[in-house]
Parts: sequence; structure tokens; C-alpha cells
Amino acid sequence: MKAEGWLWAGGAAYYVVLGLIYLGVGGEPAGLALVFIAAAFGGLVAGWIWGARRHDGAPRPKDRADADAPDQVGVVGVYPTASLRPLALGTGMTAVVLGVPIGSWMTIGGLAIVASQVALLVRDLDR
Amino acid sequence: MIAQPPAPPLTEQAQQMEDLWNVFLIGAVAVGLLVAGLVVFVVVRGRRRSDLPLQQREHIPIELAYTAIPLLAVGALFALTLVVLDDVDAESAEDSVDLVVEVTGFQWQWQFRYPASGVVETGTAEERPELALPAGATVRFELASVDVIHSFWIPGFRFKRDLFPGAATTFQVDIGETTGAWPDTGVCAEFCGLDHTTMRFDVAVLAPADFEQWLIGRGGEGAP
Amino acid sequence: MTTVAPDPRLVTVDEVLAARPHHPGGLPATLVGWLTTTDHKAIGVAYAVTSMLFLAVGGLLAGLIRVELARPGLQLVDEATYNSLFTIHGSVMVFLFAVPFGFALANYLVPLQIGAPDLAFPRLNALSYWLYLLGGLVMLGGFLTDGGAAGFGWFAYPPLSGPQGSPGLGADLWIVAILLTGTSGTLGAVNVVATVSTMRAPGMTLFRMPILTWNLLLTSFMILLVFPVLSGAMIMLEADRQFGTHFFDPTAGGSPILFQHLFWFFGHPEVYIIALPFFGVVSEIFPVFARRPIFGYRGLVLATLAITALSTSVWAHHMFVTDQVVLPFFAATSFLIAVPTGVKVFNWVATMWTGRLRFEVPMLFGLGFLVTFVGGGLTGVMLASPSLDFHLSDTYFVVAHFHYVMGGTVVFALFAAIYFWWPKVTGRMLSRTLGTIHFGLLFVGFQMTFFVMHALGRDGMPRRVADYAEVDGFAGMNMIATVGSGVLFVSMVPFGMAIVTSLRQAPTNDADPWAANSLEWAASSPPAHHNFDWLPPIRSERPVFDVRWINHDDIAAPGVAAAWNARRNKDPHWSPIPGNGAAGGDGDGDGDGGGRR
Repeated sequence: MKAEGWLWAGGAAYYVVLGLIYLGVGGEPAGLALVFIAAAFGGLVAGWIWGARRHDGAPRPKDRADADAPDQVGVVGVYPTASLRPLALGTGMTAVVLGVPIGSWMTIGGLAIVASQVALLVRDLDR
Repeated sequence: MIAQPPAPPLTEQAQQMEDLWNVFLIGAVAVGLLVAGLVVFVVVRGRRRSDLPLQQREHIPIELAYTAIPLLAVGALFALTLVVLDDVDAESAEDSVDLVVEVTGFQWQWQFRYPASGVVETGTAEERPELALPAGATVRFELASVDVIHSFWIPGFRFKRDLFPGAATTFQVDIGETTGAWPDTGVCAEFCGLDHTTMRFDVAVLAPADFEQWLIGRGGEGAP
Repeated sequence: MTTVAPDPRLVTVDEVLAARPHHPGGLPATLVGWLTTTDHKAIGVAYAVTSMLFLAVGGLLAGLIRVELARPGLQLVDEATYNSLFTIHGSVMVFLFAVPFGFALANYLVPLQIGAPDLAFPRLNALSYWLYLLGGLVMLGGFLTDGGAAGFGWFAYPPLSGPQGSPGLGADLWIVAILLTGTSGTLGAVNVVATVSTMRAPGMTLFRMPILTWNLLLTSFMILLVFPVLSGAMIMLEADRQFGTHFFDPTAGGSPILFQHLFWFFGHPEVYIIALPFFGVVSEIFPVFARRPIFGYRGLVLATLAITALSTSVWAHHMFVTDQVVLPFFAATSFLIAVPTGVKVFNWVATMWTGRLRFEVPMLFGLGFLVTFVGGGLTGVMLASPSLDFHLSDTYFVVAHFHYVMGGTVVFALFAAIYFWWPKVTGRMLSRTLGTIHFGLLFVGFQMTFFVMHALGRDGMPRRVADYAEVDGFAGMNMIATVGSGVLFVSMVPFGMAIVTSLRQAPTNDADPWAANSLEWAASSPPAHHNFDWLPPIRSERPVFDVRWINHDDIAAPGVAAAWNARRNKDPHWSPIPGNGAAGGDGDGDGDGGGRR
């Protein structure tokens, strides 16, 4: 994960420098806030990669220049196939937002759909 | 010709910006022809080769060269920009300008006030207002909107400035010696709703004596 | 062991795959299948088809605009309708066509290019698609309301877009649509970043990924950074409209310029979010059709990183005429971004420099992209200068500029992508004759429509006007542009014919019809369920090229031959190379590896 860590850290560092320059030339508050928040979020991800992934041990096969397919056999991950959850959840989320101009009945209905779909998703995960 | 706007540069700042445009245009055409030429060259040459060409992956000196040279080029353009910007954006002290014009934008016409002489020129849906300016004078414009964002654009100025509700914007120009009338060439350049299209005004640059007459003719007290 | 003479034969992926059990893949066959799919390939196709349908909608709106503007006077529509036409044209093209097609590419190709079975979060991926479709329908639903669809321009500047400026429901529906599509994009970006970070095949280090995948990764970084800012601005705007807040209401302490900062902090990166995937597309196409590796891979990655960073640093160049931004700072960053963009252009030219060019249809469109995009880039450098932008901002010069850069990318490079990857998705080819006609008409129509707009802007024609005056002298150029747009429409006819005739053919299912480079060409066409049960060794950004040239140590990447030999020793299942190549093979198909002994 080292290379990814550098990407995120590089980004964060860039925004710190950019923000300081913008501050120096008289930048306005909104832009400054956005730039420094960008730095903070980049730092957050870089920090997670370096902190949480520090104890990972040997480099992953994907990060090794000499690795090959036989080095990674077995279960790669869980990839759920067909599922109605996304369409239903998307419909619920749409109703929540669309209800703001249309009417609170739609938002409430949408929240009900979202809640039920999230519950079902959690149940699916436990299977 | 094709790149010649209807009105010639009407202010000294406009002339500078026009000159800068010519520099950029020449540069852009040159680079465009270079790239087009390179593409034609590779296309023509690429048709006659056989077998697998040399599998070259990089050439650091060339790559550095075509990073550094464009960097220098845009650096030069940036420097030229700042030189012109200095004059365009300059504003002198309140009392050293010859004329102040207050521009008010509203949906969907303009109002021009000449505070020193009391003239107010207001446009309506049926009739455009006329903005008259004295040749050779330094004029400051103070712009504000009463509703949404508009933008005051006179192509002859090579310049536009937005009008905001609740916050005045300003700019200053030195009118040149070219006199004339350019009816219906002043436009609103920030989309402002239903009749944005017809929010237009007439522009006239008058010799100082004629400008006096113009003011008096509109019930003003003459130029200060 | 006897010495075997080196085998000069080129090996094709099809031969390798033919020696293996075949697990046919395919898109869902039923409606329910499509409604519940989480397969990245199906979702990728869904994004592509849906975005092309929205292209048709946006194109129709553009056609109405061009018909109206052909002559002075209002002939076709009234001003209120016209205002909705250009608002929805821009919004559809940006939010519902260009960005989603980028997601089509990311969905379909990222897992295939890095050797993964799917994206990291398949159900989240499907959710992204449904939010996009539903959001798009909500936006268009504005046309069905009493007041018509939103008519405040695709930037939606308040106070015009506020409760007094635009009181209709169409405006709220537009805002809702942006929130939905914005969420869709953000979730999609999360998926792409997670996938690229965690699901690459063994040996596929970051610097062996195809440039397209790099670009999609960096596009996702940008999306993560700026889409939420747009969503925030939209929530604030909707709150002003519905909940009585005054974020952007100057009569109560709010600030319209604040909206502009938030919008453009999103809005400028947005156009690079649109463009970067297509830069990646041509970075895949030029090497294949010039038979050379992409020139300056590391330089391209660095340039893309620079573009990513700088694109989020230039936003207020859209606000030069407001008199409220730091001009030199944004002029500097805007000029700077031309440099890495230029580096990419020179790298693409260098890729073809001593190449042997094959002028297949994807290559034609790639060349069309190069010429058109550079044109747009040059006018971008002009607009970077506030001293020039004071005249050119908000005029048809800007319209010309962005159509050239968007046209280069989302038109030419997009069709390059379609013609190039069509065989992978469908197992069939698109007609070369029809594709060439399509390209010719598109190129001519495009230049005719948009070139004159540079002059129109310089001459004084502002944006977003339904009409102009006789005195302006704009009529001639507007008519040329309208005729050009007619040619653009006509150019879609051979494209449509190519699609229909191709789908009617029987599939040939060639895995690698173009003799291409990257990993997706090692999957079958169409790819099997979960994509790969066999991968070539990955020792460069061109694993399929390396397989093809496996018998030539000086041409394939260093280490590939060693990898094959290691496979034979470890597990012959992984090394079925037909013939007696020095790297070993399974020529007699008995599964025991090794050459003829």
C-alpha cells in the first residue's frame, strides 16, 4: 500500500502549500476552507494507510514486481451477484430528496424505503 | 475581417488588450500549426514503415525539453498579462477622474446616472438607453444590480464587469479619441433571466463639446 | 535438454484461451436480470447506453438552439423556453452524458485492465447507476412542470436560481437531480479507488497499470474532492428556496459570490473529470495502432498528477470579471495547467513518432481528438489571461473553447473508445467503412459548427442569448454553425447503422482482434463471468503484447520469459503456451507444459 500512501500524502502536502500561497496572496475564506479541508482529507487517508496498514507484513502480490498469478490462488473476495437492494435503495434515496420540493410525504416514504433496504443489506451481509 | 469586432478599441486599455490579443493569437496559431504539422508528419511517415518499429519507451532529455519550453512560454504570457492588467485594473483617486458614471442593472435593462450633472438615462423594454462618454476623458464606472447578477459589456472596451446585488463593482478607463456611435452594441453578458437577450444599450463617444450638449439635452447641468 | 531453435512465432491470446475451458459470459437476458445485476460489465453497458440516450436528448436540445439562432428574430421558441433549452442542454451534456460515460469506461474496463473479477463493491456500483438514471429522469421531468424545466443556466447562479429568481418546480427538480447524480458519482469514485488500491492482479504494480486506469483513478480522486462541494452548494441553494435560509441572498446577509466559489471549485475540476478518462482512452489507442509503447509512461503519470492537482487550483478563472477574486493567483495556476497538458500531447505524438500506423477507425477518432483538443487548449491559454478574459468571458468565444476541448474528448475520443472496445464487449466488430464515414462527417460538422463561434465571441455575441440584432452582423456565422450542426446530426446515421449491422452479425468472439496491449484483451470477448480464470504474467503495462512476443526476449518486457518458466515449475496450469517457444509451452495440449522434447 506504500505507493497509494504516497499518492494521498503528496496530495495533502500539495494542498497545504497551495493554501498557504493562497492565504499569502489574499485568498477569500471559502476557497481557503476548501483547500485546507482537501489537505485534511488527503492526510486522513494517507494517515490511515500508513498507520493501519503499517503492520501488514510482506508486500501484497499486487505490489511486488516479481509476483505472478500462482502467488495468489484462493478466494479473492466476496462479490454478490444479482440483488434488488441497489434499485430499491436508490428509489428510496430519490424519494427522500425529491420530497423536499414535492412534499414531505414523499420524503417520509423514502426514508421508510431506505431504512428497510439498509436493514435488508445488513441481513445479507450476515449470511 | 473575421476576428475584427464591430467597434475599434475605444479606450487606451482596450488598445492594450487588443495588442495583447494579437500576441496571443500569433502564439496560438504558431503552436497550432506546429502540432498540426507534427501530426501530419507522423501520419505521412507512419504509412511507409514495415515490421515492428523501435519500441522506445522514453527519452528524458526530450521530455524535459517539452516541459521546460512550454513553461517558459506560459511564463512569458503571464508576465505580459500582468503588465496589461496593471493598467486595466488601475483606479485612481476619486477626485482625479474626469467623469463618474453609475451603472445600475435590473431585470432587464440598464440605468446610467451621471451624478455630477444629474442626468439619469433609464432603458425600458421598448427603448434602449444611450451611454454617452466624452472622448479623451478618464471615466470611472460604478456598477451595482438591484436583483440578480448582470454583466456590463461594451465590446469596444474589450472589457466587461459583473454587477452584483448588495456589492458595488468598479472599473476605470481612459477613453480614446475615436468618436462615433455604436447603437445596440452594449449588452448584458451574465445570464439574468427571461429578457437577458434584449438587455442592450447604445454606446456613443462624443467630442467634449458634443458631450456637454448631450448632457444638457437630457436635463443635466453640463459637464463639471 | 536439447537446444531448441528460437521460435519467432507470435502467440495470440485466442490460441491460449482456446486451449482452456471456456466459461461463456454475457449480459443479463431478462428485465429482472438488468434490474438486479451487480456485474460491472452489465452496469458499464447500462451507463454507456443510458449516457448515449442522454447524448441524443442533449443533441436534440442543441439542434433546437441552433435552429433558433440561425437567423435574427425569434422563430422557433419564446425566450422562456429557450432559456430552458440551453440550461438543460448543458446540464444533460455535462451531468448525464459526459461524466456517466466516463463511469461506463471505469465500470467496464478497470477490473479487466487490472485483472480483477469485479469492482470492490458491486452493489454500491449498481446503486450508483440507479441514482444516475433516476436523477436524470428527475431533471428532464422539469419539462413536464407548469413553469418548464430549469432555465437559469447550468451554473445555476443565485440570486437568479433563488426563490425569487426562479420560483418554479423545474428549478427544484434540477437541484434534486444534481444531488442524486452527484451522490452517484461520489459513490462510483469510492468504488474505483478501492478497486484499484486493493484488487490488482499479482505483479500489477501501480506503475504497470494502463494509463487509462491511472487516469480513472485520478479522476476518482478529483470526484471525491469536489462532488461533495457541489452537493453542499446545492443543499444550501435548495435550503434558500425551500426552508427560508439566506445563504446566497444579499438582502439578508448572504453572498452570491460564495455560490460561485463553491460551484467553480467543483466546476473546473468537473471538466477535467470529464476529460481525463478520454486522455486515458487515447493513451491506450495510439500505442496499439502505432505498434509502439506509450511514450513517456512516467511522464504521463506525473503530468496527470499535475493536472489533477492544478485543476482544483484554478477555479476562480471563471470569475475574473467579478472584480472579487485574486487575479494573478488564478491566472498563474491557469497558465500552469497548460504545461502538463502540453506534455501529454507531445507524449502522444512521440508515441506515434516512428510508429507504423494502422488507420483503423479508433485511430482516426484518436487523431481527430488530438487536433480538436489542441485547438481548444490553445484558446484555453488565451482565456487564462484576465486581460483577455475581460473581453472574452461569457461570450461565444468561451462556448467555442469548451466545445473544442469537450468535443475533442467527449466526442472524438469517446467514439474512439466505442469502436475500440466494441469487440471486447460484444464479440463483434463495427464496420470500418461506416466508421470512417462517421468520422469524416463528424470532423467536418464539428469544425463547421464551432470554429466560427470564436469570431462571434470576439465580435460581441454574448452567451445564452435567444436572439441577436441585424446590426450585429452575426447572422452569416450563425447560419454556418447551424448548417454544421446539421452535418453533426447526419454523422450519427452511419454510426447507428454500424451498431445495428454489427449486432445482427454472428459474433466472432476474438479475444484480441486489434493485436492490443492491455490486460482486458486477455479475457474472452465478451469476458466470462468474473472475467478471468487465467492471467498472463504482468511485467509491464502491456501484458498482452508481452504474451504475443513471448518468443522474442528483446521485445517482450524483461522478466516475462522468466515468469513463464517459473510458472511451469510451480504450476503448469498457468503456462499453456502453444508451440515450442524458449519460454516453454504446452504445444501438444496435454497439460504438462514444456516444449517438444
